[in-house]
Amino acid sequence: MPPPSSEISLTTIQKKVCLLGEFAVGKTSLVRRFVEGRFDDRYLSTIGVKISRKSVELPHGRINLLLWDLAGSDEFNGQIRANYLRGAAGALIVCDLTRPETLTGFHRYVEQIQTVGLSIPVVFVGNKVDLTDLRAISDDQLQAAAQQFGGQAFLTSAKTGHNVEDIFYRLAVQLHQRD
Amino acid sequence: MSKTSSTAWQCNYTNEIDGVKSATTLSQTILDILLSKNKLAYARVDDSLRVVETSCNFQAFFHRAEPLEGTLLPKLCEALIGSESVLREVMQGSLPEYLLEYVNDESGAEARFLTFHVWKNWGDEGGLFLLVEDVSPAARLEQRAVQARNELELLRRELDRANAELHRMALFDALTGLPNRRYLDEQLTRYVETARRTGTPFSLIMLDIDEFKAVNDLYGHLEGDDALRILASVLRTSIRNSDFVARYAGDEFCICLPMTESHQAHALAARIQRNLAEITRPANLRLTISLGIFSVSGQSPQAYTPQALLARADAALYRAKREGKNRICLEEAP
Repeated sequence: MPPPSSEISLTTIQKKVCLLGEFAVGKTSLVRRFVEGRFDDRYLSTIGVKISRKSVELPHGRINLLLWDLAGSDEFNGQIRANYLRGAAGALIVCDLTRPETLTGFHRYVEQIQTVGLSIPVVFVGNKVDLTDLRAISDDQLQAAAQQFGGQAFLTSAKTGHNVEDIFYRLAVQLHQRD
Repeated sequence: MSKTSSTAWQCNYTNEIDGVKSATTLSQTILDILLSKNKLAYARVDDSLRVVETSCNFQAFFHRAEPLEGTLLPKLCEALIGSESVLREVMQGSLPEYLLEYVNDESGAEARFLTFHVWKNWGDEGGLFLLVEDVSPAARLEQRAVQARNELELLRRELDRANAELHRMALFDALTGLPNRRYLDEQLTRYVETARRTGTPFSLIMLDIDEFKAVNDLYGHLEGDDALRILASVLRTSIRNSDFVARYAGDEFCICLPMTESHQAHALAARIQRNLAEITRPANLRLTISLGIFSVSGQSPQAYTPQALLARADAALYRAKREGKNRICLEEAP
């Protein structure tokens, strides 16, 4: 009998997944929506790293995701972020669809992953798709940015929950396949 | 500083032979205080990454009831799960330190920030040293500073967006989306100056909708607005990239055509008429325009100010109206 989700056995496959992106793109909100199923409109800057976990049921087993929600601010660049990234099995790189400059930062995060010698699955995410009036990044621009790094991009809304489960599930499937 | 100002200093100064011992005692005292206040905890780990020795507060620090000796280091806390390969690198000496700063820890009653240091144990026992610090006070201060900075940055970007929108509203016509009279005045001055400096020809077209008042009176102002939008769209798609079209006033529009002779301007005017007819024909809408062109050759642009150019193009438009509308009239500078 599988252990209850609150008492996940340490023998369960565990994978570290890092969330990267500029500050205030909604990384913490995506994790909160995925793990706790809720959304909070207030913005609270993350400093350092917040680690959460959630178990994902896949057709051929279960995978326990350790979600490393990394601070987006510049203070946590360089060696600090390199150490956070070490040991990661996958990553989500997030941009805010209402702020074009957050898309141009994609290459920086891909470089950071490569710098620590990681070759891991990356899912690109355009968050805040619910803010249609403020939208400043088109679907084409987002896909083009993701394809530049051989990845796929998805539109999400941490506020409405749109596609949130899906992006983590997709990444979990990729991690499971690589195992 | 006085040698007798405190007992501790007196001890260090007066007993030089035991100076090292005194310092060690002081260090031990400070360490004991830090451990008792759970400001830090430490452990020694063997080559197989199992905890073999800990500080006296280790269990309490990690809010654990069971003894932690023998536990695999990566299983001690979530921050170290999956870090085996990194810990091995530190053990081998290829990575001088594994440092994880400001790890948010919510395992206890109160949320805190921890910083993890892992160093190689260079002694005979081998393995690693782990030092964990509770850095909450400094982290909370930094959190407030980062929060303020980020919020300020978001506000600045919001302001930039609002300014760009204001700029757009100041220079563009809300109904048609075309540049407005103010923008036209700015651009026309530039075009005239460039034509004067380079000695190149320049043409200006002024146009308006025939019987526009009747359109408004007969079909209403909403239909009139639609007619303006249709014409604006035709103008936008008919001109070249180098041309500039603006809504001049009411149903009057103006097109600046740099480096354009009169016959080229005439051809463009005719194309606009044709394109408008093609667009409106399926809707059975009779929407015609009159156009006045004033062209200045490359030899004479210095003779005309922007105002004079507008006046001459307007005169040509007036002539087109007078001669029966739905036509193009051309005036050329001598």
